[in-house]
Amino acid sequence: MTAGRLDAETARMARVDRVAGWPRLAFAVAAWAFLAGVVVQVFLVGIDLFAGGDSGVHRDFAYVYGWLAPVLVLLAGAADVSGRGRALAVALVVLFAIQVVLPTLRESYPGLAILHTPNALAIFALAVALVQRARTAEVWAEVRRWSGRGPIDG
Amino acid sequence: MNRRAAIFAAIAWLYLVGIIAQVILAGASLFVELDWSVHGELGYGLGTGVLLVLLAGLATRPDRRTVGYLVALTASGLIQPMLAEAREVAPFVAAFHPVNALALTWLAWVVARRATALSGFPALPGRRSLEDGTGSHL
Repeated sequence: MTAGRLDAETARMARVDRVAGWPRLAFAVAAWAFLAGVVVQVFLVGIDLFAGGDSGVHRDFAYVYGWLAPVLVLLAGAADVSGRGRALAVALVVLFAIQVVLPTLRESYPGLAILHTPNALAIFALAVALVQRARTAEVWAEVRRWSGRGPIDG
Repeated sequence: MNRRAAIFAAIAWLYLVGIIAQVILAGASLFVELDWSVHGELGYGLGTGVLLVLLAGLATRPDRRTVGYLVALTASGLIQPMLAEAREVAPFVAAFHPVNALALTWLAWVVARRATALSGFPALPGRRSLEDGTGSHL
């Protein structure tokens, strides 16, 4: 192979690496951000229950990070996540939508409203599973390689 | 099948079920005004339960990583009632009670899966990744 062809091949590989890499990075960032959102959301319940906080803050905070759930579905497709990973992202959207509705049922169907707390646990579990599927360590290694601080073939 | 590990697994899964029941009781207190004392009483029971998980786990002579998870689970389980009790003196510390519940649930899940793997029960989804310690895969 001539030097010119080798350079072209290297440039093509770098392009492929970037196209496959950025959605994965975005997926990892979104998954971690969503998990952090869930933890903050639960802390706000604690503030409401134990420190006399306003329950409206807990309610409104859901809309601050909730949009990440459908974004994770899109990114799961772009990042070439496995079918199971994509199914988890879809399940997260469904459970999150249900979660928003459950407290509104406290008057009409209090037995269903109770499920708000275990459903929160399920959302947390799905968020953890998505973070695990984001393979953050690998993504971080890629970022370091792109920025020229990591091993070239790492 | 390892008998001690099977007992460890049974206790660990039972503990996880207890945590989920506890979360449902919290929901019942919030939404159907069930007395919070029910949640509190089960909480103290789970405080004993976490010690059983620890003892059953240590009896199986598990690997270092499992011991680490067991210690973290025990610490998280023991401080959980203390956090709720801190509501008068340090309400912002007490606010971590539900956050610690999330950590407790995750740790209980990890320990239960590791206990199942130790016992030789049929593989759970992701068991391979449990063994190599890398978590689930894409």
